[in-house]
Amino acid sequence: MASIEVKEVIEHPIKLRVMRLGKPVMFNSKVVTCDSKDLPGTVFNTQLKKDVTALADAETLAAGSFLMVPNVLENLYLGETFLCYIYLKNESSQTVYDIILKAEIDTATSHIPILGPKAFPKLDPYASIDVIVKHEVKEHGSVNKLICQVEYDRKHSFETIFSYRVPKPLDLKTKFYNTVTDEVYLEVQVQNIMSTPISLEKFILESSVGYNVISMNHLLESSDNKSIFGDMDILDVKETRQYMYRLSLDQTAEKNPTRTNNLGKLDILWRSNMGTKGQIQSSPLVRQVIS
Amino acid sequence: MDRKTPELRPAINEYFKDPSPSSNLFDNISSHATAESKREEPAVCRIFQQIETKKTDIFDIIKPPENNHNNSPAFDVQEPTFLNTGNDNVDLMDIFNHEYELSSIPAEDERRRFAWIPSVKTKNTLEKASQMNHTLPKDMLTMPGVENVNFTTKLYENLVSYLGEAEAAPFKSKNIEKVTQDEQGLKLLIEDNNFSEALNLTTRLLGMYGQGPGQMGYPSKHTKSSLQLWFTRFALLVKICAWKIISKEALAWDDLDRPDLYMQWYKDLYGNKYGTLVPFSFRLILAELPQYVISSTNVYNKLFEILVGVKKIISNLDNGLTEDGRNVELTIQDRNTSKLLWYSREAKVIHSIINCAVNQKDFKLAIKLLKDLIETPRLKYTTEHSRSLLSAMGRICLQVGDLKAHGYFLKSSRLKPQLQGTMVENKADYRELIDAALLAIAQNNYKEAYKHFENAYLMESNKVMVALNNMATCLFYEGQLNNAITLLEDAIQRFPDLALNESLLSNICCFYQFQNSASNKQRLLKYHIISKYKNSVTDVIN
Repeated sequence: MASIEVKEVIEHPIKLRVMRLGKPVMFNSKVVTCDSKDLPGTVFNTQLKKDVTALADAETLAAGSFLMVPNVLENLYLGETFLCYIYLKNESSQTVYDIILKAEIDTATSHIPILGPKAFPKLDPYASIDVIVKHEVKEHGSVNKLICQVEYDRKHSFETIFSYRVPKPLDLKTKFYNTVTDEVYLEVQVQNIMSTPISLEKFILESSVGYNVISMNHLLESSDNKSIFGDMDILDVKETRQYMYRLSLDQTAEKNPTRTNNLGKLDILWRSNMGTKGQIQSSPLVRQVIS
Repeated sequence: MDRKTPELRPAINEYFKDPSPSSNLFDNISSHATAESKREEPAVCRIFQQIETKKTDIFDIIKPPENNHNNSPAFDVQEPTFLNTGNDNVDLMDIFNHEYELSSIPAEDERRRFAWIPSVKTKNTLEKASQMNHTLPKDMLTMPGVENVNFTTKLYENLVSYLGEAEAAPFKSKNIEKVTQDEQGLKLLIEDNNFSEALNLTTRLLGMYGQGPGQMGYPSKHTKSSLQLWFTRFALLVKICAWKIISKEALAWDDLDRPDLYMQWYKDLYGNKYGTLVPFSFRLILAELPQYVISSTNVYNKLFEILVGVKKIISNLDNGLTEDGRNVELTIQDRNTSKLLWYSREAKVIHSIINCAVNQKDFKLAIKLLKDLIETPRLKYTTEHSRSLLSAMGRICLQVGDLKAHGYFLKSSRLKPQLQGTMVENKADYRELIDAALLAIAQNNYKEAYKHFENAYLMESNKVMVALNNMATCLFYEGQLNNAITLLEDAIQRFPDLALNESLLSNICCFYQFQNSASNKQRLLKYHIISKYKNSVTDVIN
């Protein structure tokens, strides 16, 4: 997906550009070295040493700190934050007055204003108005639009539409196992269906009132609650994890007779490139009671 | 873009005149930067450098002896040991604890560098070679040939259309005919960053070995020199990203294990010497290729094969044998020097695998291997190298969004040499600032990141460009496109040789494009600068 979408309306003196921003990426240098007794001598090594994108004192490791604005953006997923640069420039030699800038998100089900209407008394020749808008994506689908509207000189107006898709990030599957003791075992399968590996920073089951939850995802013999998934929280592309929980009725809350079949919900937080954050909560997990 | 557009000419000068006073946001930066010309070269990790000097300071990643002379001031205070591993039981080659004389007898040196263990099949063939008549079936020969490609850069031509011939003339790069047609000439072209002409020269020189265009698949003779030419060619092809050409030419080399690539095969030429004709770097570069070629099925196979080979050699050395497992007496010096060489080659291969893994987004593998390098080092690292490894770890973690990066950055900080006996405030050094800034970005705090980068820049470190580029990036994400552009333009003007690299130009082009796509004076700037300083960015041929 191209990261820049330029919409130009030629007849207007001010032009609006919109660019969805993904987190910057770290550029990893290309490492070419050789023995100093090989034909090229020390040339390649010197070039690498001078390469600003290389990692000083360990140049043969491509893990520099040189940031790049990504040329190709990762998808924007449900639960992540839509971040967009709105750039409004006066490209004429005349000052433009009374500018009003407005932005809203248009999804299949709702209109969400995310900017303004914001008024600017004037825009000098070749000057610009720069705004970064943010929006937490709470709805997935393929018909999301950012609509920016500009009014100026109290009579002219135009709008720019930036469309984007919001695919689902994770595939969640749940299974309940009812026991005779009125305990419920819950198995959750989570699969990373994004195009990039992620770090699962948080994956918890928040139980409803009246239930106690015991996470069964730690090694029994370890003293420090070691996760059965090891010490890396990385979930690769297409990788699946299985979590297991035991839910029991909260005895102290017995006075409350409203026993619900809603056991709780999952709260999941992940991060990907350079800390790109995403967070989702599952819909209520409802136990099916076999009658 | 190809049109002659004379009305655009003044625009070039615009870019190269003094920065406008209006950019006072960066004034303090600018004034500070004037002292930059005195910057020293960074101490580099020459881990593959050949053993030439007699002291143990040849590998910079290894803890140097006391009389360490050429490091920058920040490195002067010696850290007594590698601190954070908690792995004191690991026997880190004792030899580094003593003033140890390395062996540099040419014959030994050659044996070490070119040692390689042939596969069983090849070994059998080689052993029989002395008895049987000296021919191989065609399918056991290595029969390379260069692709018929003439490499050109279009920079000069582009420049002529903008500037006219007279003004563009100084930017015309050295022609292949202007250098001697041999390895010396080749070296000159490479030093001149004229990779295209250097490649054309390798085509010519390899033609003399019967390995020129169209000669792939025909028998030819290999020597150490021809293999060096091939290595150089491949290194250059990698540098200019000519993946299609390189993957075609790589086919003939297979896994570099055919009998005709061993010295044993050429008794008349190499007498009773053992070893391969293939430079180690060539082996590695071929193994790194699959990750750049889309059709590859397993990008790691060849890399791990090399790692296994290196480990075998190390274990042979440990068991009192020669590198390739022959039972020949080696002096202690000789053996230890060889161990040093092969340990450092082992590290280099692991680095390559890590790079490949990061490239493939196999972060688990990258992190695991790097963790190994950090926690169980085979060599005694310099403090700076240890810190670099930890920083690398943190950065790789950040690439997959793992904020545990913070822990690694902290460990790196703790290794920082302390100024002993003084009460000087323990200020963050360049590395700490960069790491802190990266972490701030992961937490969406671009303002704080900017401050850290700015402080790093003000330290006058060797790597100002990283700080400047990253400051510009932060400004952009803060909605200050114009300031970001001003900053980068200013940086290019001040440090053209450092600033000119593909990544920085890619950033500035992205900003330009966003700012005003109708104008092409920006692209003009790009060409102008590239040709003016003509290196770093080659006109990619694909």
